[in-house]
Amino acid sequence: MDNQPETLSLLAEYETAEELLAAAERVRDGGYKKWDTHSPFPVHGIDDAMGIKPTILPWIVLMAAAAGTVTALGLQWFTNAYDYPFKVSGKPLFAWVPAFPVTFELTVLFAGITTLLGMLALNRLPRLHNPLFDVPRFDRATQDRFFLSLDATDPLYNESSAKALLAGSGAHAIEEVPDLGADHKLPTWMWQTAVVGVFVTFVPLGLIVKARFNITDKPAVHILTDMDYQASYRYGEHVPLFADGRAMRPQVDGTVARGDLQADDAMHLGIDDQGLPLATLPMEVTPELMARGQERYDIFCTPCHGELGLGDGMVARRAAANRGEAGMAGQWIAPTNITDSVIAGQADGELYSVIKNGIRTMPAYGDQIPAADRWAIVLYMRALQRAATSTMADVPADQRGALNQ
Amino acid sequence: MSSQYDIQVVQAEEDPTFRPDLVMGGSTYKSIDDDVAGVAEGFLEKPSLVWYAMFGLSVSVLGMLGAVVAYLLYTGVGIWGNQSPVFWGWPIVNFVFWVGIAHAGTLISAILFLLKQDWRTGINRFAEAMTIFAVCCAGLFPAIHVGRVWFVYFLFPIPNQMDLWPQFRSPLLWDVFAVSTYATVSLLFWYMGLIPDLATFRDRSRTKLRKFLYGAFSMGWTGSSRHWHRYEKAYLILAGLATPLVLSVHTVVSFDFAVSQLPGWHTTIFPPYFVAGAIFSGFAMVLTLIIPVRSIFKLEHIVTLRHIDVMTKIILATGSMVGYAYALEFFIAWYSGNPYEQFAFTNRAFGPYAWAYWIMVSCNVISPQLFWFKKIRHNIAAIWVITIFVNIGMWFERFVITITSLSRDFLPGSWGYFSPTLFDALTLLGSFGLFFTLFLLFIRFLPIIAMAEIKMILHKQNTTKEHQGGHH
Amino acid sequence: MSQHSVTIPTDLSADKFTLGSTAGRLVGGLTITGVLALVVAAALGLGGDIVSASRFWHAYLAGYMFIASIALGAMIFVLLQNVTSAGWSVTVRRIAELITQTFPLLGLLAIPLVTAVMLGQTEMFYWADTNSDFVKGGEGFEGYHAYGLMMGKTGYLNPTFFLIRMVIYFFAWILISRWALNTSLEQDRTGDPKLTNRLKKLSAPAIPVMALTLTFFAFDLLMSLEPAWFSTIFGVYYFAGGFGAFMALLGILSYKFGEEGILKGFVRDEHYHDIGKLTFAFVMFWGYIAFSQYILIWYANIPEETEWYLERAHMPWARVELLFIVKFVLPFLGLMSRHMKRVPGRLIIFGSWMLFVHLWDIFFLVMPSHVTTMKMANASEELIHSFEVFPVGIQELLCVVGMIALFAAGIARQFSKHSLLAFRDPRMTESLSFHNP
Repeated sequence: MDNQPETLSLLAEYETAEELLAAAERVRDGGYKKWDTHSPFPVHGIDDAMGIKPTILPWIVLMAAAAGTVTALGLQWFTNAYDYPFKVSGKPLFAWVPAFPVTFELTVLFAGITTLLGMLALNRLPRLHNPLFDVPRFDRATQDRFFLSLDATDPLYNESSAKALLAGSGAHAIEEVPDLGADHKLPTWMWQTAVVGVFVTFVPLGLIVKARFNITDKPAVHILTDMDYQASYRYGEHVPLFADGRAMRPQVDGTVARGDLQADDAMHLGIDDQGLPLATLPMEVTPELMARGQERYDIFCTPCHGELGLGDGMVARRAAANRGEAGMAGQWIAPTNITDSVIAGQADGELYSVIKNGIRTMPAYGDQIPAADRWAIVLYMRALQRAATSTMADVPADQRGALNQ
Repeated sequence: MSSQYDIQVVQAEEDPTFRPDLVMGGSTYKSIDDDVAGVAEGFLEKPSLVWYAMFGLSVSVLGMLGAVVAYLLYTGVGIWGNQSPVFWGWPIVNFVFWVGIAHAGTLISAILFLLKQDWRTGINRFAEAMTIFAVCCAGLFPAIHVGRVWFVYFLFPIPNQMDLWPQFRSPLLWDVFAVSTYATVSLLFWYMGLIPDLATFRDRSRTKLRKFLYGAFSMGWTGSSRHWHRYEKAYLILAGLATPLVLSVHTVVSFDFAVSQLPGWHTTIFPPYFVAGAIFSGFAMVLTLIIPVRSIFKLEHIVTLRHIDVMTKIILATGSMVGYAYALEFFIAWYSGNPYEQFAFTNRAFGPYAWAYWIMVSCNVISPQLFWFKKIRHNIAAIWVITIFVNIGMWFERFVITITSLSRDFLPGSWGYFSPTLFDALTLLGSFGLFFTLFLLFIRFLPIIAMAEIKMILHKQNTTKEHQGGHH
Repeated sequence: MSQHSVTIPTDLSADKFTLGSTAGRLVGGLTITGVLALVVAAALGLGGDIVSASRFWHAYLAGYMFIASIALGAMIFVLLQNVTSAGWSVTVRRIAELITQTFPLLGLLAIPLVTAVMLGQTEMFYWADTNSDFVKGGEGFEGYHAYGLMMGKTGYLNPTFFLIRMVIYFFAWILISRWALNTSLEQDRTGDPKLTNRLKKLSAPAIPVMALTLTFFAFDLLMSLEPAWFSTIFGVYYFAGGFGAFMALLGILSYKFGEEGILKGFVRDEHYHDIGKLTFAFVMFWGYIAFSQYILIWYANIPEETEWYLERAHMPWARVELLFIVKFVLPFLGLMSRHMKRVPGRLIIFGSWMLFVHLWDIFFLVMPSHVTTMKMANASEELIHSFEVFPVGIQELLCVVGMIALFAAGIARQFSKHSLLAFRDPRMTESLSFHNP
């Protein structure tokens, strides 16, 4: 091992930019390839004096910009028109007009970031340890002096001729840049901290991913309770406010809500003065009432009783099939065939009562169907019953042909 | 005129072949370094009571902001005056105000660079810093005004627990992208400009800690010409990107209002009008800040009267553009025959907010017109006062636009008068605390003028003088 | 940007830079061509029915607004260069100043338009007859003009006030353009640098005057074609297009005179670069303004505003997307690289393209109004459809060619009378030696 550190490069110092330019031209013309100049500001004309070729940075930035454009358009199309399409104020799911602002911004963002990072990367920066920094005079390179450094590894390099060239170019000082063999690596503690730090930043992400894809039976964590816990009372909750502790209040005794007074027993209960079921509807029978009855029957009754009232509605058929599969055939009690003679023989008021109150396993429909509609359904049931026992002779002559299909 | 350096400005006014020096006082590269780096280094040698006092004040105000924001997060947006029908109150006004101020920095850095205006080098570092800090203040408001700030990540297109994506067809979302991009690119541009100057700081550092920190942040910059080549290309590219970017950001902000159907908001001139207004208020803020700084730190030979003169003319020009837009809005409101539109404007001038409207007009339209007069353009104190009025006026412009149209929209039954609460005022005040804290830190630790760029034009100035055979 | 030493030749004089008879010969031919074309177009159009008259008027207006926008762009360019103490543009500024001398010609060409309005002809400007059903909301227009929409505007849109405004515009423009050129010409004679100061001082207040007159000119002659429609940015839109077209023309003329012609040595690569940069900037600016107007109207979707764009969407050539592609995307990509801006040949190609697409833009603004007139006049479906598909026929060719010929004649006349170079401008050195990095 030498006592004298090896010379990595020669460093010449100049006082003005013009001197540097002249020196650079000499070095360039001398055929050297591994050399550089240093100045506190970019010297106009140094690119030509050194023969620096134009950088490819603009092309890299252009590609990044294009990537930004594609990303933005793709992002907007994917999120708003494909993955979760929803219409907002009649706008198209994807249109170039509203997509343009974000596209523009992302293009600029990608390009901007690439410009800086590209410039640093192409310049091989950061390079925190540089042998040049070991030369104290070099501090002035960023202040008020101009330097030219000639690398010893250049094929044309020869210490004496290089020194002569530099001396002849008007340098105010020529120094040798020593190889002090300094450790180029980052201090151990630094990169260890960095590695740990990087790992640590993944922890929150990991927790989020874990939470996203796991099920828990614990209640959610509320950091800021906001309006999550409200003082309003909930259905069925016991509350201290009332003597009986009920949150849902019953109707006050002796009152009837507006519109709820059901004074007409004939209309609402389907019974006459003696309490016997009405034989006929307590209202005028009109084609509109029949049509209404058909509509309401189709809505409420067909699932079980079927469209013709035969008790073969979809629910019934499926239940029978299920029982059959389960080996429990015959254990399903089918809905009543409302066209059979027993039902046909009942009074209108009795049919009404069944709709309102339910019977056996049929639930009460009184809460879902208003009184007038119940009578309409009864009327339609009568039509179905009539249809079940009719013959071709009952069909008007001009419509018989339509039935033979 | 306050300084010996101002004589050249007068000479330029009279002799069109004379271009005043941009860097005066017989400066050399070393003297520039000493003057500029001396600002930060001076703090090391002699603790500045003034700085500490101001910093103490601004940090307290910042602390107050922190407390208000914590209270806001805990209690909710109800602590402000936002109320039906004026759901956008001061927070949005403040947001637009700060974003507008931010734009001048990018304009000075990027647009003036593209227009080859070398005089920008005296003020661009300062203005870019102002941009970054103003964008921070601006970004604060939309973030906290959403109510459930912990869900603010909903604004970004990341898969969330609701399986929902942001609504990209909304200008409020374009804002998220625009302001984020603007903050990022401005920061990158500012940082890139700082690298060579941080290297200068590194090389002048007298303490190990400073050397280490400045060294780390300057990336090991050596001033290599090969590096400068790529650096200059990158600078040009960033300037070329930043120019349309800055126009687009305030345009997108104007879209927040203009895409709606509200009378007074929906008018096609909003984008360029907002951009002109942003530049107007931004330059005013630059002047408000730089006038005291140049005198306290004795930088009048670098930030000269010429710089100030040109900036006042830009304020005059952009202020006139804003006035043009006001006039056109009025005319078209009448011309359109739309009764709602017509009402919106008569309401502004004569309705319950007339007081705000007339403050706005006098500050924005009338006060900058004073800059037609050279005497005023060269009177530093007058300029300082006028620029403060301009900023007050621009805040009121955003106030008038936002609040009057909302408080009196289509249905009279929903009209309401908006009143701010104490917390509205404290939040606005707090944002100034944030701004000034960052700003004071900048002055203390970073190069406040772009030394490398100034040296470059000093060199150009000297070379030109030689070529002209010692013309002046 | 550095300066290299440069010497200005000392034997400069006005005749060295005046085109004289070279241009003078052109003037006659161009004038005759122009006048003939317009007269034939008028005969063809006005001799027929309301549809052919409308076609003539719209073609006339389109050609007129095309050349007017370029002259206005030139004027604002001159004022801007003066007020910013620009050094680079000195050697090309005189060309712009001379182009602004066409305002008297433009005033003359406006006379037929104004006369038609004064006579209450409604083929083009429906508001010209304030007693018409259209304005009063009479038969056939009841729904369209509910609330007396048009009646409310007659305070502004009436023939008398229109005439007064046109007089004001041309008075202001002729005054300003004359003053700017004469001051510059005086400097040719005396070389007094104080004249530059005066130009700078007075150009500043002239700019707001231009802004307002240009805005209302655009409102009066273009926006009022659809009187129920309105857009606050319209004036800026017209300005952006016109300025961009002027820069394109300046590039072409600078090239013509700078490469081998009378300005050789005075117009350099650097000038092409700067002209290219400004053209590029205004390509972007126009795109920005056009997009702003479009997105706001698209987004709010208010029928009284969207109607204007919907009319244009029916016509394949007038679709906004297509206009953006030809007038923004293509020139943007083409002018982006530094190389493109420095090679003068490229600048000619793009300059010509810019002028062509600016004419397209003016057609975009004007022609759909002819379609509306045809519909109001119950013209046949095929006639309407064929015009919607391709709006260029004999009338349009004659009017556009005629207008361009007369405009060129006006400019040629100026070039023959005055020096093309402000050879004693105090900033000549700077203009000859500046360098783009």
